[in-house]
Amino acid sequence: MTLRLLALIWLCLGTPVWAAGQPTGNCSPDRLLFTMIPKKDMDEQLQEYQPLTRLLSDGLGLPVEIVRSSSYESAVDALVSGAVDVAVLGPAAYIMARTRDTGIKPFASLAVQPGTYTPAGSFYYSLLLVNADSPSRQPADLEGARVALTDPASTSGALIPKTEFSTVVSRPLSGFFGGQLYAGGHDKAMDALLARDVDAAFVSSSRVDEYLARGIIDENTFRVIWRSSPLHYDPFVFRSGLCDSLKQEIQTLMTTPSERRRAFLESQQATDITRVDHSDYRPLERLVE
Amino acid sequence: MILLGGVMVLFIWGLFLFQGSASRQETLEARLAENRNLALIISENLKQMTDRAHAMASLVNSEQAASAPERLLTLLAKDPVFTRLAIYGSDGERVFASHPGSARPSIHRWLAAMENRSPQLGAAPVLPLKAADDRASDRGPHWRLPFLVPADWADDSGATQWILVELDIGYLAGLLQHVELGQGAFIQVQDANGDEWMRADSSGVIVDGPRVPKAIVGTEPTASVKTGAATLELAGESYQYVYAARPSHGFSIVVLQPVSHILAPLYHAQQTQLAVNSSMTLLVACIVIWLVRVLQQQQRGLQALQLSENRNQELIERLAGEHARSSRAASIDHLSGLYNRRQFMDVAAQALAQQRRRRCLSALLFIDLDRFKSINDSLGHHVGDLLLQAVAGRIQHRLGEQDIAARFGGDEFVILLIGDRTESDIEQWAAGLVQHLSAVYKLEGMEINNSPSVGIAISPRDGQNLGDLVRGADAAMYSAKKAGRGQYRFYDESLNPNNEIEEFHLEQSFADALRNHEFVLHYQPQVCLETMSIIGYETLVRWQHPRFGLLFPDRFIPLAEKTGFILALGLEVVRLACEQLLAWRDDGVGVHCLAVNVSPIQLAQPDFCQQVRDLMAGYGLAAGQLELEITETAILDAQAMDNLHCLKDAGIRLSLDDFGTGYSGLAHLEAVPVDKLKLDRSLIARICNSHDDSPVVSSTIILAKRMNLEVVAEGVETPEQLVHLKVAGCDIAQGYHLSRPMPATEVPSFISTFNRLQESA
Repeated sequence: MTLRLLALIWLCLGTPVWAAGQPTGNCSPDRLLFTMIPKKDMDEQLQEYQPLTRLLSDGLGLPVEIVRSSSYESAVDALVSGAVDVAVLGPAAYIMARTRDTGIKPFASLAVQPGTYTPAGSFYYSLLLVNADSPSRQPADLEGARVALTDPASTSGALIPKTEFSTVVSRPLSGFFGGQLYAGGHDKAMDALLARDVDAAFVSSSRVDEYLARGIIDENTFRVIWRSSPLHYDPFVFRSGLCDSLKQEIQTLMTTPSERRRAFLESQQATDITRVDHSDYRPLERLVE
Repeated sequence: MILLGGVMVLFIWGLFLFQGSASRQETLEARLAENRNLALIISENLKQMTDRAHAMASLVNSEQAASAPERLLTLLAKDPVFTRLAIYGSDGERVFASHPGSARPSIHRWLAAMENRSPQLGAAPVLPLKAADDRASDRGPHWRLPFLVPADWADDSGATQWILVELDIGYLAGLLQHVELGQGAFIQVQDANGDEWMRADSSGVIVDGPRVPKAIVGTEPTASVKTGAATLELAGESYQYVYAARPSHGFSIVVLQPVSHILAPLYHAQQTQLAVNSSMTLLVACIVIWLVRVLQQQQRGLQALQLSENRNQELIERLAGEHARSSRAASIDHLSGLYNRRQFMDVAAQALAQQRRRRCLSALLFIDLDRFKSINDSLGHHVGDLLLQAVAGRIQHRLGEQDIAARFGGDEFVILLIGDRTESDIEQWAAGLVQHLSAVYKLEGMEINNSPSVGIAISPRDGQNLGDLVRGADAAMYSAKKAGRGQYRFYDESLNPNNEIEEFHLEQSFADALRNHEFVLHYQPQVCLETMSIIGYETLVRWQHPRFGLLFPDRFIPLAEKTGFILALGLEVVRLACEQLLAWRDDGVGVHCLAVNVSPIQLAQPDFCQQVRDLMAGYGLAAGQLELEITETAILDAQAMDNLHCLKDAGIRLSLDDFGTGYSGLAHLEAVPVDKLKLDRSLIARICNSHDDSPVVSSTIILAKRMNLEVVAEGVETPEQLVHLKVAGCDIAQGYHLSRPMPATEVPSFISTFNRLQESA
């Protein structure tokens, strides 16, 4: 808290520096600001994204800074407001951002390794999980249960459940479940399920795979009650008004194999960074409405 | 015992309950304190966050914001807490927004609500009222907490502008992620009206929980912080509700926790305690039961003991009863139903003593049935018993209340009359009794006549103790019998001179007398009529009794003969005679012959001859020095005859005593080896006028002379008798005229005197 205050004061003192501002379309910015949705612990993500940021900073010759976002929507806000240049958003978050600012463009997405819950490729699912010892076998069994969601702007963690799942049980979530908990992230949601704080959790399948890979759970810890239709993996998104050449460079850097890229891919259990565009996420548009 | 156990159990459970509630209370309070602290800290946190909002707002003025928003936007992006900022005019219309697409167009409702704010609060950021929020919430939870901060600057019109900063709830939720809230607990951010803006627990932000009712009351708007607690019912569960209200900032942080979850850890401990208590109770119960059983056993043992004690007591009583009965039986004469002798003596003695104390006359009646023996013999014992029973019945009928009657055995009855009777009363009573008992008895269809002889002894006149009275009454009864039977006689002193008593005493002292040499010999001289010289002495035994004085033979000889003592006495007499002879010989006294009387009983003893001979030999006496005088009756016994012959052979002379009065006839004389005949004094007494007065005497003397026997006359008392006897031819005389019997010490002087007299005559 105090640090922030100090940072703030420092910023205040450095006002003149900022007075210059950042003109739209400036192709020579001082820095590149990066953010991501808090899918998991922010510190971990910072760590994991190091290779990428270094890759970009080396390639662009600019300092790349990651800005922490405390929620999906704050990441969206940051991108929409143009405060950050690049953001890794969830599909729904992207759509929300796009709704607010059509200049936002997705440019890349990870292709993940296959896992127990997620097939190889760029798609993942929203899973409704219960603990293996739960008596529930099908969605109807979870009526009146306490369910963990992730973030209101999470695709697999909120949006898909609210839209797709509620269709399955023919009721809105609040009418079906006894209580809803927004854990703030997939890992937190799974932790809440493991801690039996909740009876079920809506989480991203890729996140479950990661937990499995890390050994926090095993194949028999959770049972999948419901699986959504496939969702395209999180896009890397440019803010509107970013210099096109910069965008190009970034895109190239990220989609071209390199050592740093490989290191980054490893940390993400990904196989590749592929190019995407809005059409990949269009199906989600109706969900966000 | 059971009470004690019950008390213990009650104590254990009471303690358990007390402790239970106490620890429950403690746990709740501890949790309350914790949660209050948590609420306080979170509220402080939030307050400081909002204070930052103020700081942030102050950096911006509307113009700057509108023109160069990048700085602000970057700031907002980097700020972990605040994500959006908007500026509103005093009318509530939006002037600037960082995220125009998402900002509220107007906040006039909130501003309207803010009007009531106290000016004292100044520029503190306020959480506006949810109820007055224009934004619908059906899109999910509010992911932002809006805070209104009055701007430092004024707009063109001079009115205060408002800055709305929105706080990312995710950040706030993130603060809680490591807080151990406990199961079921959650935190609320409430506005000033108590409406919920946000609900979260350590797992995340909660949506759709049960509606929490308002519980914060009475907070002054100017207070900086106020804490409190309450208990709420929420969805059927009891919740602990702890809040930290910040009215100045318009929000409260509430921590709710289900009481059951707070107490859950306690539950386990309580379960353990319960188990312990139960086992303790069981243990106590078992111990109590065991103790009760032991006590019961003891009780039973005691009861059994008591029972056996009672039984023993019963037995003892029965035994005592039996004993009493048997002793009573022993004291009652079965036939008559009266007392027996033994019991009578006891009871009568007591009664007599009592009478003596009361100075009343008592009478002892001795009753003997006159012809009982003949009735018994002739009519049989059964009738005899019936008669006795009838008599007893008649006696009892006449008895007074206190009178005592007994059957002494056989046909003897004894009555002791008690009470205050005079002698004439007693006499009357006795007369009546005699009459009564003399009446006809009807027994077994027979009529029997009988009569009593009654002897009466009066106390204290005739005797003080019972024995004397009984003896007296007995004697009186005998005299009544002698007087003709069927009558009563009073005891008379003369009936029983001290004889019997004396006899008894004498009898008792025979042995001592012999030992103590109380028997002495007196000597009566026998004078030869021819020469008028003393030829011998007859020894007559006397008893020098210490109490009775000098006793003559008639007092004790019959008794000695009765008791058999005569044998020892006889020998003693012989011994004394021998002794005296020896003494006289040694002293030179001229006594040469002693005559000793011998009892027929003694003579009948087989070894008598030997004994005499031994004694004489022992004293060294010549046979002729001792003469034995025997009575006529002695001759009748065969053994006596043998002894006589034996003695005769030994040279001891024998004389026949009391001749003329005994049973034997003259015919026996020839068979008897006697040397002398002693004429009894009764014969001699007849001679008074002439020698012919008694033809018996003359004839006997002639006869004796013819048989060559010497004749001794006993009991010569007059000189005429002496002359006549001499004329008749009697040889020897003995009697008072010549000398009465004298002790041995007088003999020498008598001899000299007698000789002198004769010389002078």
